[in-house]
Amino acid sequence: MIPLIPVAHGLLIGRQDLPIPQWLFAWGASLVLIVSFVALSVLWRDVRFETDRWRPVSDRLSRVLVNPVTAGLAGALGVALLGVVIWSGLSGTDSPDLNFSLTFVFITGWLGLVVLSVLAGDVFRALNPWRAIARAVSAGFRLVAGQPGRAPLRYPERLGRWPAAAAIVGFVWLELIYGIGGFSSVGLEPRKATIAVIVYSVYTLVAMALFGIETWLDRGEGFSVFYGMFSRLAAPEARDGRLGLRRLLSATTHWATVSGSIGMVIIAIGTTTFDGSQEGLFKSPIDSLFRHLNDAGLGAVAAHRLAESVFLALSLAGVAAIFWLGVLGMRSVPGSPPLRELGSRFAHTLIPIGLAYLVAHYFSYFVFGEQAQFTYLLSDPLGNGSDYFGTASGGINYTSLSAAAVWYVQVGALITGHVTGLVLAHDRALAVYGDVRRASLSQRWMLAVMVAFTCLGLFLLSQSNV
Amino acid sequence: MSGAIAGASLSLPVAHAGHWYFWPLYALPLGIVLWSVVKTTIRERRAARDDQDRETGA
Repeated sequence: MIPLIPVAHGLLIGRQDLPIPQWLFAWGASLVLIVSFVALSVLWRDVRFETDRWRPVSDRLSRVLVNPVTAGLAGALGVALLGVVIWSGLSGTDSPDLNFSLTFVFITGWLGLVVLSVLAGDVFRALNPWRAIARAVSAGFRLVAGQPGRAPLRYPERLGRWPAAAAIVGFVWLELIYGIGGFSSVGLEPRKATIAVIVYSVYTLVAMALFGIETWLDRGEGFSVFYGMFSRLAAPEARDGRLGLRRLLSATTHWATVSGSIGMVIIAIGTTTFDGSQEGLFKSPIDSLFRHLNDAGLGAVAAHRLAESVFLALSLAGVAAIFWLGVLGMRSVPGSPPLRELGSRFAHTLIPIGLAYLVAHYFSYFVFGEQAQFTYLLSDPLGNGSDYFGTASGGINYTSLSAAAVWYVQVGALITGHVTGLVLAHDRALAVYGDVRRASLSQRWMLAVMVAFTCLGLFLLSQSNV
Repeated sequence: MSGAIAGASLSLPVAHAGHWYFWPLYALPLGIVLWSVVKTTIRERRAARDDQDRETGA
């Protein structure tokens, strides 16, 4: 027999054996943030992250890691994995927990690439199957036509990164709302998810053909922008075919200059917030709205999806409101730039918080999901009883993580993410206001923002798993 | 695999009767920080206005 993959998100095991009540962790985390704020005001007096500092690694290491062969192999791997997802999704079992495609798309790819990006830089750029296909087609065109192809349309700059942000909302909607209450109850079957993958692939390839490969990847392709955002936290970066290391976190400072970037980072936090509330805090109000819509004549599935969509929108609006209220508070400091500019200049401080929310919320889910991915799903991707690598009888060991250990990881991730956000915000404030006093005055508001997100995150986690 | 639940049907422990009424305990640190930030902002604005008034009066 084969174990089932849990389909709910977040923690899957109850909390136990904590020495103090959970809410006291929120107090402790807030205290850490307050102490960090004071320490930054006193000790961090010069701007450190604004200047670009990149140093190449040794020639040999760079040549081994960054060369046309590794680039080609990475692209081929990405295309092969996309092929396996489509093949298993269309040809495999309809049972979501036994089909390779869903776990790979929603756990290994979606969450694993965030981890890889934070550790190793913009890895998805190399693995991106759509980029690899587009570049191969482009190279073929150049060979045949004797000249490089040109994008027929100019990308409308006012769209900024909004198409990418919309793509991520669509992806999360598909995962959390279309497949509501578990994959099987409404219908996110592997086949339907795979059709979505194919539609998105065609859309991306057409958009790259129209606007240019790199332009679309930088602005419109949701996953490139999403993972690219988290890769800014990492030190490794390839420039002009050479691998180097930049100052940790420093690449975040210039990320949010394009419109829509604030939207993307708010979506990263807001969608996780919704996922954390869906089965906890929002459960009762969603059910209530569902009954109203259903009584009003909407079909059960449509009513459920609409009710959930409303609360997804409310989650995004709530996260945006917390951020913009903090920015509005900062505006009270003399010498502040206009509101929109101020928001844009501090948006990157939310990137580590987005990461913290993802780690805190999905840590155990990811660990358990990967056990399935690399055992029975790897050997039996179609769920038809095959055993390619001899691991088909493997399963998920739910005792590999204790409830208390998961809780400590969650608290640690939230504190680390928010302290990092506070550091980035303080450094940016020094650059914006020019002196330590006004920078510290402005950062009292960002302290409130960080405390709000920390306490909200811990509250949601405490709600999801009682 | 030791400890695995192979073959077992998984019931998801996502109870919905969460202790939502604990929320004030989670909101309290934010309340304290906000109160402190608003209070100091008002005090500083008042001090700046008094300074301005003194300069104008002088």
